[in-house]
Amino acid sequence: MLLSHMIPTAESRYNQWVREHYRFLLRSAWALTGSRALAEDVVQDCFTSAWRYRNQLRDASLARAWLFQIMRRHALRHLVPDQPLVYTEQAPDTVAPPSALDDQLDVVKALGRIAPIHREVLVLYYFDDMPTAQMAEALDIAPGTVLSRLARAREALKAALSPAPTASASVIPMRKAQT
Amino acid sequence: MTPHDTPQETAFDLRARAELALAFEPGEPPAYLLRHTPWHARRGVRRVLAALLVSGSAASAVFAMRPPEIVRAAIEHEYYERTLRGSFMPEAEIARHMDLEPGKSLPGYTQLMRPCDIDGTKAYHLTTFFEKGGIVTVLAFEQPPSLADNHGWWANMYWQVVHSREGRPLVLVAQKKQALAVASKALAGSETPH
Repeated sequence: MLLSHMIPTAESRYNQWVREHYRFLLRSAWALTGSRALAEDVVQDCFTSAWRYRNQLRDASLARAWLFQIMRRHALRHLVPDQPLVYTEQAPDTVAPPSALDDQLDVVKALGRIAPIHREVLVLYYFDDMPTAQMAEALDIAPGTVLSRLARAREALKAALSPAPTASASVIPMRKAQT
Repeated sequence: MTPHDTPQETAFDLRARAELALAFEPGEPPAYLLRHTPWHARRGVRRVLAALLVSGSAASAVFAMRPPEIVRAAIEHEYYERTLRGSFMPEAEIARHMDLEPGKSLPGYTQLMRPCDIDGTKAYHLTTFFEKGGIVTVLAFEQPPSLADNHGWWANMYWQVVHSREGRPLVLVAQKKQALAVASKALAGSETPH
């Protein structure tokens, strides 16, 4: 057993991933899906997928960005287009109590109102202070796009915070409504 | 982010960080997410066990095939004298040591007849050629060791222990199994299973 602690096994590598990245991934998934319960499922699916395709991770220093990318794909499957998120501890199919929204902090409410592409870049920026190159990897976009998207996302968040109804004008929908 | 690519942090950003940190408290990873494979189910341990099993089986197989010491010494002796030819002792004498019937000639076409020393035991060495088998080396001992009828394969040679008419053990060594069968038929006192 001493040997198994000394030699890094595949299992210990997996557990190391969970220990190092679980908290970040759960917060991010929660922020992206709106539900903590759903986020837990998403993160579990993320680790399962990541382990299955672990050979695709070329650079170990990009593990967090790579895991975020996988988690993001799982989270996007649960998003309802053009619908603001209301953050809850429950799964989305259970109705949140009416007070849930009122009890939430303003920034959190505003985060739920902005477009998913802005939400995810803010999640990386505020939760992890991730370097631009890794953010680009995590979001699967060019590094040059990261800063401009981040600037727009911050503006969108500020706009969503302001009580004026015009705030919704700066909120970019995830998809254009079908006409 | 590096200082060069970081957007300037404002009071708004600080507020956002603080509120988001308060709102999304993830807690520790749940135990079900971690993997706990029992030590005996680990791949490395299984590989070691499989390697031990294979090497143990191989070692057992080798030891099971290993002939008695005097037979191994006889095989080694045959190897060094494989190319030696000649009559270094009378045919009748070597026939007597192999308990052949009086007046009966040695089987096959004799290649080498000589007294020698095998593992400190005086022995009589006969190498003969059988048309329907090939070259066989037969060794009879001055002081017959206790050897049971047996046969096998060792050091790329087939060997067989047969007993003469008088019950003296004879060690037969050949490169072809068929040669042993022919030689044992000619030399053994009774039919030996092969």
